[in-house]
Amino acid sequence: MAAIDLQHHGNVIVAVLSGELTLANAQHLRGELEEALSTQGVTDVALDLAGVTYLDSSGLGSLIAVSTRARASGCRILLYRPSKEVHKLLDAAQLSGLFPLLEDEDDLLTLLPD
Amino acid sequence: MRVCAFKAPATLESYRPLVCQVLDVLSPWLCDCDTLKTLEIILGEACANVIRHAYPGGAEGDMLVEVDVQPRTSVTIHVTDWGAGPVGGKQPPHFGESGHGLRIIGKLSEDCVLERRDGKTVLRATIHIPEAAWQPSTCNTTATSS
Repeated sequence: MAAIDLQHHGNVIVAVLSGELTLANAQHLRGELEEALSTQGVTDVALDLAGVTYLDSSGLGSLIAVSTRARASGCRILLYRPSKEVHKLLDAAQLSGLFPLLEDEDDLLTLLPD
Repeated sequence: MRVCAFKAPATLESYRPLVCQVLDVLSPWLCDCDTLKTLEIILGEACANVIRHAYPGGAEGDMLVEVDVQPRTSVTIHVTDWGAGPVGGKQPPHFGESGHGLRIIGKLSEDCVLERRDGKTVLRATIHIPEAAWQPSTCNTTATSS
């Protein structure tokens, strides 16, 4: 079970994710995020992970796929407020350095346009 | 000691409830949320691997999760399937968008083995758990009754 809420702030999209991001919904998540990325003029997509209760390697795989596609088109995927468990999964997969991190609201505000 | 054995169809619908069932059994033993989260990740990845790889082409099959607890010492998880097994004995690549499951299990456990024998594949992972993470009352009760 997962939900995604896209909030547009100029050239930045904040994607608020909640619930479990798993093998069961990884493809759906990927499709939604790729569609968001294709929005005209978008430069950054911040994934708000504060409401994510569980992430597995399939969910992580979707985020990697979207990030790869974003980079190819000159965009960035950033992780906003990842939980301790998300950090643990990234560390275990040795992918901690793959995504730029926004740890708190101050970090996010520096990204958003005035 | 074996504390649980749950068998379920290897499907997208069944694996998360199966993981939650196992965690329900383990939670009286462990008072440390971080340790339970680690076990949840290991179990989830092991079961998801079965769904992804064991029964290709939409074939139906089961998975069995068994858990051994050595009080105040370790938890060992065994996840068994009766499917195709790792192709050519090789593991999926550990890079790109997929193939991270076994790497994650290996990193979070001290002893992770994937074996193919007698027509089944068994993934066994042990995590050593510090004494402070155990629920004292459960460990004492068990020690008394055994």
